[in-house]
Amino acid sequence: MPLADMIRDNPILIRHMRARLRWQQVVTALVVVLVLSGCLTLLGLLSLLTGDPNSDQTWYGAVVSTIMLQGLVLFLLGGAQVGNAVGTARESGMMDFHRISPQSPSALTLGFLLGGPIREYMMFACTLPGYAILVTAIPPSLLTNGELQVDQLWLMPLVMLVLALLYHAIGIVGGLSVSGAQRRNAGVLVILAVIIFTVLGMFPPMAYLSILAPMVLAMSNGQGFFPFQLLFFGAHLPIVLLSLLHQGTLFVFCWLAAVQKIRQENTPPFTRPVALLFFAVIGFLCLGDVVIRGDTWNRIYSADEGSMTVLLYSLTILALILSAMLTPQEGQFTRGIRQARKVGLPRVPRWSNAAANWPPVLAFAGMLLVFALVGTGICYLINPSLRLGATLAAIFIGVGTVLQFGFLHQYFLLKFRKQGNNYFALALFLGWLLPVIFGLIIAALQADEMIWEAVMCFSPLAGLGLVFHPDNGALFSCIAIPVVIIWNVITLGLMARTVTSLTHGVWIASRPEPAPIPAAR
Amino acid sequence: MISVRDLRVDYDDVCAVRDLSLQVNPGEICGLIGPNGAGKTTTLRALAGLLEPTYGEISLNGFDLVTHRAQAVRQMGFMPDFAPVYEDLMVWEFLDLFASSYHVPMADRDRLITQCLQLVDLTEKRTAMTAGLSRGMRQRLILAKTLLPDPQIILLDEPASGMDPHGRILLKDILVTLSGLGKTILISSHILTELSDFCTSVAVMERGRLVVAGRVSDVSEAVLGKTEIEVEVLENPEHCAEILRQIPGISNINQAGDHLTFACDGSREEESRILEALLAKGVRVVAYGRKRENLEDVFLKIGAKEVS
Repeated sequence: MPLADMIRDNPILIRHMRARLRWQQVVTALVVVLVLSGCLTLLGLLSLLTGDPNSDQTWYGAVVSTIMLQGLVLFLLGGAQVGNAVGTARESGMMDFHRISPQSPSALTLGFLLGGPIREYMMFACTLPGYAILVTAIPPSLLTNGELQVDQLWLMPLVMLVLALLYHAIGIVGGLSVSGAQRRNAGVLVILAVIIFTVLGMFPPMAYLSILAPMVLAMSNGQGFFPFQLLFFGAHLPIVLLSLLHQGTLFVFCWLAAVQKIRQENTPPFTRPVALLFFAVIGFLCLGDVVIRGDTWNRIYSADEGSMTVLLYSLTILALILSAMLTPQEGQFTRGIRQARKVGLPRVPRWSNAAANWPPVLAFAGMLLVFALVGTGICYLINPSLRLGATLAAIFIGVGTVLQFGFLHQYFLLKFRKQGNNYFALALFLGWLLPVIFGLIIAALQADEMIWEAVMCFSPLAGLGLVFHPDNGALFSCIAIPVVIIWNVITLGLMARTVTSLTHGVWIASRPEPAPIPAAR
Repeated sequence: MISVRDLRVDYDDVCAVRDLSLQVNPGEICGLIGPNGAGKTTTLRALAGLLEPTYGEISLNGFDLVTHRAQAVRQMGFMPDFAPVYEDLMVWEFLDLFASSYHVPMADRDRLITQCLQLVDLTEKRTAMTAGLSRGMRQRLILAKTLLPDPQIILLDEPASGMDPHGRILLKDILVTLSGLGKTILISSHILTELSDFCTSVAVMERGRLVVAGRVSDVSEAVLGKTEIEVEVLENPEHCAEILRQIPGISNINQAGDHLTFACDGSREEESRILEALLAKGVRVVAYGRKRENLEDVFLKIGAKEVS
């Protein structure tokens, strides 16, 4: 169905318009935003008209505050509304009515996406005239020093809207994923996500997760107090274009996840092929972002070990999250075997969500390896002083971490059923966090730096970064790599045994009942 | 028509419905009965397309729920055992939401909403907020929402729970009317006496399995075996009981005041002959007839325990 048709008579959108745009409720919100935005605009204009010597700073303050107000309205209030709307519909059982109506999952998703925060979109619209007046009335001194990118500032509301759609889509997935009493509070999760994304967005490689970097770069042009440039595969691109490329891509996949969760609640947000595609696309974007020039937070980025560390951590964590999403519970696993048995298949199809998770885990590890090697190549070409030995050790640890996590998770879910996730968390705590805690305790006892760092290397999380240590990297590699190998051998063995025995047991148990023996005449 | 074959539904390590096969024909009102945890709600939710079965075929009016889901769900209206509503909408807005969901043309919506509200006796509440409705009224509103797209198949899960006697009578009348229009109705309920009033067939479930299914009279006969006769006499019921004991083929004679019941394994002719015998021996009979098929008896005989 065309997008226009999906919006025109979208029942969910109309339902939210009716419920959230009742005159008595909406007028207060609009007046508050209009007054706040008007005050900020007036502040910027008055400082210009009165010839205030600090008019530049006042203008900056007014624009930043207006953007912050827009962010507050769209991201925090709007995100919370979407999460709560979906959570409440699910909690009350209304979502079931929508699921069995002839509306497509895409139309339902669109309805929640645009309808949930409909009042917040109107509040955002109320801020736009003030913002436009401020951008039109730029102090002349700012136009001459080359820090402002006026065209990018004009496009900033577009970045706000795309980013809002991204957060809201996360809200839908969150509202349909959290369980029990948290469902109604799904909006709080979205607020948390927005805050976390905003904090992460302060670090250049994650700049596209929030409005901060696009806003500041459009106003500083890589100069002044934010002296770095975001490049894509080494090329300078307009910041709005770069932001839309990253945020738009993330939004598309969040949209797919939201549609999938609206279609069927008890399924992972992604099918296995879509999850692999998601990883590939994010890997490609990360590769493009790996080269960042500049100096921020006292850290110089120039295609060095730091860039590779960020690339490896980002992709490893993404692979862990996706692998956890795609690991079937025991019930889903045995159900898949029964289904396969019923329709006469020799086994559950490998890329079905009900099959054991080793095919996607292997695929994630393989893709991580490829992206990391390509990233190493790019960095090495730009910066030949990159230490290849340490980088390869880190890549090995990253790949091993993905494999052991996936295998161990599958083992625990199949072996311990409903308690699987609890025991898995315990195992991760003991294997991955305890060495870090011990290392910190030893560090607190004023021990030699090498000793406590060596202890931390028993955790792959810390080992991945510590192998880049300028002095003791080789030693740390000698500790971290064998630990990763041992973990992988153990977890692979446990997973393989459990999958085989469970498959065999269910296969035998779900054998079709033999036909009755005809009675003898 | 509802057609289910080899349906199995698993929740984690629990098998909620096991190899269930069932057919409900147009014009039929089939009562799905069973104790708590028997799998009734799971079966209805699987039929509504809200649960993915482990395996099995479900077809609604000839449309397979897996391969032709869009067409299949268009045939069906589902009413759950609780009544969820959007509490920030008015009654007419709530119905309009679903009219729009089911692609009812805009020009017809107002008329349809009015008709549905009249049907469930909620016309006066048209502009009331749904948050202010009582539980029974919400059930009626959900019933209106279920009937609004004129479904051919109606799945009702404990529809009378929370309804007052007026609502229950209304529900019964609506279902009988719809059945007369050729709709296929599958209804689950714990209130067995109500089901026996209007159900044309029953399916009894226990521990996920279909124990017995068929027309109410067939199931009663198959399960209870003998026909039960009720007699009311004007006086001296003890004398009547004595006479009955002497007639061969009669068992389970029970006396409560002037009322007597007994089981008879004979034909209708035999039943007539018993009456003649009573009259011939001077028993003053006020009323004589077959006891209505009692689903509770069927249910208890099958072995279920948790009937409310």
